[in-house]
Amino acid sequence: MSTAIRVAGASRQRRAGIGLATPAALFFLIFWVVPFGYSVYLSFTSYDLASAPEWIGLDNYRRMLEAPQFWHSIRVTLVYVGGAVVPTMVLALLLAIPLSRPGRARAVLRSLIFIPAAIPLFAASMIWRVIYSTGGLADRIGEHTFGVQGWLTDPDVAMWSVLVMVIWKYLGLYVILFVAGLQALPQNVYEAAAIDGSRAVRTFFLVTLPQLKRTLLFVLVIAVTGAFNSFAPAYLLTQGGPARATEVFPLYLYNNAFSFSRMGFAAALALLLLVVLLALSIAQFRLIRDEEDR
Amino acid sequence: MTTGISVRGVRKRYGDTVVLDDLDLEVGAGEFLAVVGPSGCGKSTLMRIVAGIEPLTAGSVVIGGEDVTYAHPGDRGIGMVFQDYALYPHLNVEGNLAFGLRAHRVDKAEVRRRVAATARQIGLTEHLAKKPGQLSGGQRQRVALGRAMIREPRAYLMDEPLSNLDAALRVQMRAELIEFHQRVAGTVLYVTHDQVEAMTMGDRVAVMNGGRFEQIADPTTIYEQPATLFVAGFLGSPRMNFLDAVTGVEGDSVRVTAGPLSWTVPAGQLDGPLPESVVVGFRPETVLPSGSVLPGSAAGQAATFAGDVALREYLGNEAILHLDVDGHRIVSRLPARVAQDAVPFAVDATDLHLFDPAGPALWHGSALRALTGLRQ
Amino acid sequence: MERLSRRTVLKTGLGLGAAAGLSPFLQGCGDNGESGSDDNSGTPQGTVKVWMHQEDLFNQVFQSAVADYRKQFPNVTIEPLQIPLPQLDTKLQTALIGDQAPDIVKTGGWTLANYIRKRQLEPVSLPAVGAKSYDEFADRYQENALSSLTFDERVYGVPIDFNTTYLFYRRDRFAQAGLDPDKPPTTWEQVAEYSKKLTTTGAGGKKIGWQWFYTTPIWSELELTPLVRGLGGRILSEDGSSSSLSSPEGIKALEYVASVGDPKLSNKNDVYGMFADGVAAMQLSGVFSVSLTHSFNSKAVFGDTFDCAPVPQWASAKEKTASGYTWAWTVPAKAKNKFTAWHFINFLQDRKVTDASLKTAGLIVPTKDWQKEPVAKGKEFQILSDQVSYADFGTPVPAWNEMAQALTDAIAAVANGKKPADKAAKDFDDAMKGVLG
Ligand SMILES: Nc1ncnc2c1ncn2[C@@H]1O[C@H](COP(=O)(O)OP(=O)(O)OP(=O)(O)O)[C@@H](O)[C@H]1O
Ligand SMILES: [Mg+2]
Repeated sequence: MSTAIRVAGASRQRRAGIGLATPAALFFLIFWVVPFGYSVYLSFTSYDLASAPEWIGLDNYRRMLEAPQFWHSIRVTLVYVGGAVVPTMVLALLLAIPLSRPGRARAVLRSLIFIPAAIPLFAASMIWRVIYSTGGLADRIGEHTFGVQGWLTDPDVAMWSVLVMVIWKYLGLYVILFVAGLQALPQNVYEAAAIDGSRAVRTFFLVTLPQLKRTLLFVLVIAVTGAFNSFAPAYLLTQGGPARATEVFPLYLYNNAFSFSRMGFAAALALLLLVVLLALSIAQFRLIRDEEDR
Repeated sequence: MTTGISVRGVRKRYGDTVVLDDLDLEVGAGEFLAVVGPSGCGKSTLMRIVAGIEPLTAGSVVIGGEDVTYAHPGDRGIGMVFQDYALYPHLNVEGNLAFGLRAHRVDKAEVRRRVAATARQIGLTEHLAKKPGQLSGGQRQRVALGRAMIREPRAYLMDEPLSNLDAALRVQMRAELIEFHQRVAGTVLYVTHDQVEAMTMGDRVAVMNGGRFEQIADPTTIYEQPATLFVAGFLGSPRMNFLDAVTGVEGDSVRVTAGPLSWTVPAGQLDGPLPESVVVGFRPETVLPSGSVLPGSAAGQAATFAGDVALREYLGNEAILHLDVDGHRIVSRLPARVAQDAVPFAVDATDLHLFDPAGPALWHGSALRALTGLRQ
Repeated sequence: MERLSRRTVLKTGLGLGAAAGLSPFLQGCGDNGESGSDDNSGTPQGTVKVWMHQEDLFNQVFQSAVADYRKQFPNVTIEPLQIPLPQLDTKLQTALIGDQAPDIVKTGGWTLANYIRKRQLEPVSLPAVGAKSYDEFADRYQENALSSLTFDERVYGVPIDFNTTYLFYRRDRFAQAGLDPDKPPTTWEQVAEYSKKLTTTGAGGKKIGWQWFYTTPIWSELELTPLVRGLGGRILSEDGSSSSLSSPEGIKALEYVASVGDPKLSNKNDVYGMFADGVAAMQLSGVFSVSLTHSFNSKAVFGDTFDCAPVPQWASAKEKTASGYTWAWTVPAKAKNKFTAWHFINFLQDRKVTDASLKTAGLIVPTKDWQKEPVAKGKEFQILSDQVSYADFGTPVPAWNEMAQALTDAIAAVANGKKPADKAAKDFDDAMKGVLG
């Protein structure tokens, strides 16, 4: 009798399990598998949104590899990712160290530095367009210092101008993340290091940084995937110009999809981006895991 | 090799709160000095000031004859063991041990040699590649000790290094520390709030209370001749019995009366006239059945009294009796075999301590013992 | 990708026309005509949804035209929707695939070829506009005015905001530089010479003579076209199937673009703003600049502070040339109420409405003899009317967006010294090979 009850209980449990898992499975199917499968399919077609997609095999991928503009946008993207991620993280860390100590003034500074992150990107880019326009603030401050004119209109300068805005925009967010990470570190380890004769710089590199590794990796994942995906800053400030100097990969993709109606080609680009981001995320999380194992 | 530590006129304030009030302390070369006191009395603060990781408000710190008051912690030649070890969590045992040597740019071969030697001493040669998270509490404790040792410091500072260990391990580590101290003959400033640790480990014990030292002396003196009411009450378990008493001169003697208990003391044995009201103290182990008062003790110098046993704590080898004596609570500690109900008890005058109600000790009964030569 | 023919068809007659008639392109149109839920009964009725971009002045004219129309046809409801200009094209592309298509859209003429290739637009309904043939319908407009809206002998849109480019110049800056404000440059060579004289770096910042649009695709085509055509070359072949910027004419035109103007200057209102502020003394622009310049700077007054003149020609040119564009009222193939849509569009061609458009909003509807109306007396309208006959209204290509973007890239690259003109021209032609053919 007791086995019968157990068996009945088990099957009821199994049924309940299936019942509970169904919504998640449906969600996954509807919002992930189906669109992903459709994108894969589209990437093998020529599709202009009007007539039915036409199967063209690997043509989109072949054309992608042959398009100078594709390679150009990859180069631009790498500069963008490096230029956004590295300085933002270094600056954020440098600011987070003094700001992570207790004190009312520091709390105020922490919220001030976060303000740009809270401003909608659209509004922020409006502000920066005015700053960068001829005779604007950037000209008044920077023209003589850097000998630069045409912050957004000079193809050699525009990318750096976009990056300055991007760094300004996201710095506060990273500072907050680093401050949280730093505040979680045990204090007496620093005292031990001081007694061991380690001075500030050595302590920073040998005690703080290694302990902050998880926070650093976490922020790095966010920053790198964010930068790879980021389309809005360049779109809002320069529309990818001048002379496509700021046409990052997502913008190239967007133009192909929505300006040029080359949906199949755009799908191929999107898949490539997805694969790269997946590979990056896996690599980064493997790093974190290795760190934990050790 | 190791040298002494001098703390001179050290004062520490946080805002308006005075945490350390004009402290003086001399730790001799090779001496193990245990600082003991209740929580919050300023023990850690003192230690951190000596280490240089806490700035002081006034005074100076001298280590090995060198004024290090404003020196960087790393330049004071000290090794410190923290209560929660403060090991570098991201470094393995080897890295933890070598950190200080590398910071001082000791050459690689020498680092390797010293790490190996230290690991052998602390018995962790097998575990050099492990990170602190993978070690037991005792092993971490040893790493912390090893890290302090490896630089062959002029003095060791240890802030409650055993308090995070379970009871058995604590006893074992205590023995290891004593053994370590004897081996390296190192100067140790040791902070604890555990009186057993202080008494068993310290060459001398400094009893601290409210940011001041109440008494600094060897364990016997501290126990036998506590300088203040606080010291008398703080050390010893169960606590010393305290009774309010009045004194009166009777010819050559002075009579001390605390409720039903009363003693006479030859006036000549006192250091001077006693105030009229005093606090009389005697330890529980000196409250004995009246029949067993040690022979030879001068008659009339022991107070005999009857008491009801209100509570009896049986500990196997001994028993703690809580006696009700005319409304006064008196605690007695007796070998379990001796403990009986409702017998007359006696406390010998040689076991008395008289205190000014304000704190300072006025007289210790042990003075009589020296006189009569009854005890060694 | 099917090739579109426009003037070719008109010129070569039956041969190509018959071939085109067999193409799936035209069959597609037939299908769409039948599948519409629309009736050609000849009675305007129901709801007509109209999408157009935001334009406040024109909106006033439009609203009163709607009111007049509803007086005559109370069974019809007109539902206008104003969409910000940058979103119009994307929103329309999405709507044309789904079932949300409006009945009327104000569309840029340069985007028409793309929609027509995708069979997403409906040709003018002859019964609804009361015409017997497309030729008869075209006769109602100034010659050449429907050229950019005609594909395979069918007219797909009715012009609104019809424009040729002009030379706009600052009289005040001319006077300051010792140039006669009444004698604007008539040749590109003069433009270059004047531009040098008008370039100064003073206390108020840098001021320049001529300024191009360096980032706006439609302007890349409007600016480069008269330069190339004036030299006797072409950017795109007449049927839009190939490009030839990498020709001596194309290269010279690009070099010219690089020789005047300053790509590093910026202004939140682009070249219009620089001109309004007097930073740029000359620009190529449309008739709307008369009011736009004033709206950016109330001190700039047309005829006094600034003026307009015909598009300059090369000194060596044998024929005159200019560039032009038009917006158009169009009806999506998926519209629910096509007959009434065309009927209402036809109503908007009424003299009363077109006069009001011109007078209130400065928008030209080039119906026959529009330039003889009293409201068109202004010099700017007369210049435009003269230029219409010889203006190039652009070669229709379905991949116009990509073409114009590539043209913009070429101009930006050369102007910024990133590529020599011949390299930029060749890159453009190479890019076009995969796009046009
Ligand atoms: N940063 C500080 N600001 C204000 N008061 C402090 C600060 N640090 C310590 N104190 C105070 O100083 C006094 C001494 O602290 P300390 O840590 O030296 O005590 P302790 O004797 O080590 O106690 P425990 O046995 O609990 O470790 C305490 O009353 C504490 O509240
Ligand atoms: Mg403490």
